[in-house]
Amino acid sequence: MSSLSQNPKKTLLFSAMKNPNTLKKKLASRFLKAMKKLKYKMSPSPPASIAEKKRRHRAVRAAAYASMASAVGPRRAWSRALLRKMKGRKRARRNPGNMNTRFGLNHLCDIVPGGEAMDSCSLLNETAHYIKCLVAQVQIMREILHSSSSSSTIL
Amino acid sequence: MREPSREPESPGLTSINSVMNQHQFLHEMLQPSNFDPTSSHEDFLEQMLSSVPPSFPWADDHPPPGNSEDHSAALRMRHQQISGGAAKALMLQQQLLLSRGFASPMHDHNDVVDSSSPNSANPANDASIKGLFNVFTGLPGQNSNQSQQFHHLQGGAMQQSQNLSGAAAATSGDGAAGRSKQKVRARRGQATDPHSIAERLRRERIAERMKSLQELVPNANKTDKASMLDEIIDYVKFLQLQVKVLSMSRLGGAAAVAPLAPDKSPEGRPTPASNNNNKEGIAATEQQVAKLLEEDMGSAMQYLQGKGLCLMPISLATAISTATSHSRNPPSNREAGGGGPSSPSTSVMTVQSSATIGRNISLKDAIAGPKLE
Repeated sequence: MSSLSQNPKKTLLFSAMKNPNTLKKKLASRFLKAMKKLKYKMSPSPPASIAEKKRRHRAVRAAAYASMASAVGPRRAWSRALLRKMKGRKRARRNPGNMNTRFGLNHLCDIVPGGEAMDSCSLLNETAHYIKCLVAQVQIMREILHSSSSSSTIL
Repeated sequence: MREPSREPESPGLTSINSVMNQHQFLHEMLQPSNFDPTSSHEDFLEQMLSSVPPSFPWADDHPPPGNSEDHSAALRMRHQQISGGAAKALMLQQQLLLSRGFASPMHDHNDVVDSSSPNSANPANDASIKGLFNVFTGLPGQNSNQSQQFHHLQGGAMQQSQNLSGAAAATSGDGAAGRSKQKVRARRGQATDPHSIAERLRRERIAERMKSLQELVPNANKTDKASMLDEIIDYVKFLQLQVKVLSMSRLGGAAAVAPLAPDKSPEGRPTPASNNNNKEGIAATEQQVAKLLEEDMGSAMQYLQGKGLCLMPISLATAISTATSHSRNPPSNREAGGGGPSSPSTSVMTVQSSATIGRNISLKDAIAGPKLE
């Protein structure tokens, strides 16, 4: 890849990024642990009311993101931002002369966690890694879902 | 233009000093008159003189009569002065050299007494000219252009030094202007504007990252940056939505999606289906399944499973229905959109649809109860 021959920082980034297998394993283990924790917290039988269900879904989703962030660790800006959000600390909002809007990245910085306190270059980097982790997380959740269903096979 | 002192010695400090003196003399003489320091000249000269080292070997190789010795010394001096700095000095040195190179045939006849006859001096002269020619041609760009200019320069060799310097200036100007290709432009950028370099670096880096992002995102049209950015944003949103849906359907299938059913019930029309579920439930289920089928096949199946339903090809459903039950309504729309992707092991169920679902997936009779496999 040409990017490997570029500045050494980029090379370091590429080497720091996990190949999908290890990443998936790590994500899976964390996510399962989080789900177990949730199960003990919640009522085992399916809750009746809608509000409870909503709460459960939100909890599962939060568990998914939290496990993702903790699996990646504080190495990435977006994971740091996510962890900050989970722990309820103050958002570290340092706007370095925000040049995001120049390249049309204004929507991207809203979507990627912690996207506002970054310049365009690192924002794109973070987005790439975020996409990778999201894809892995979705795959894991799907596989868990499909394996847990004891009935007929699902696509 | 006669230099005050010319010592035909081996290249050493003394010759360098002499050249220095001559340089200063020239400097004083020439400075007010014809010096024309445009930036193109400077760049051109820098380039030219930076590639002077290749011409050194020949300068050393040729048996040096006094003039060529001084030439080589002057060349070396010039080269040393390059690392020092001022382009003015370089240009003047060059003028000195050119003038000496072209005037030396005249001088040689007069001054040099020893074996350096005009014959040997001339080839030395020509050699010096060729050396400068090498300097010219060593640079990237239009060699033919330079050779023409140089021949023109050579043709005007017998003129005065001022004309020579003028020709040299013209040559360098033409050369620089004609050669404003990458190297000169890069040099100029470096020389003048560090900000633009930083900008360019930054832009390159961003383009790199965009390329790596393109590989991640499935739809890599590569048309332009803006559409690519939109694609990336949509993909990230899609992934986040997937996480959301998956987290909803994680816990016990259809019960997870039931909260959405009350929203759809006003849309659901009462269907004349005769089965256990109430009509609104069926319509809501239809809506729900159709919606889920669009975004996530797995969650749609899960939803149905939670309800105790499944998907099956319409043909099979009709066959079973006609075989088993008798109070089924005949199917109105025959479209097996939902049953298309089903594998043989997957049983497809049909929910009787109404025209409310204007999508290509139309579901048939709802078969409540145990799934058929």
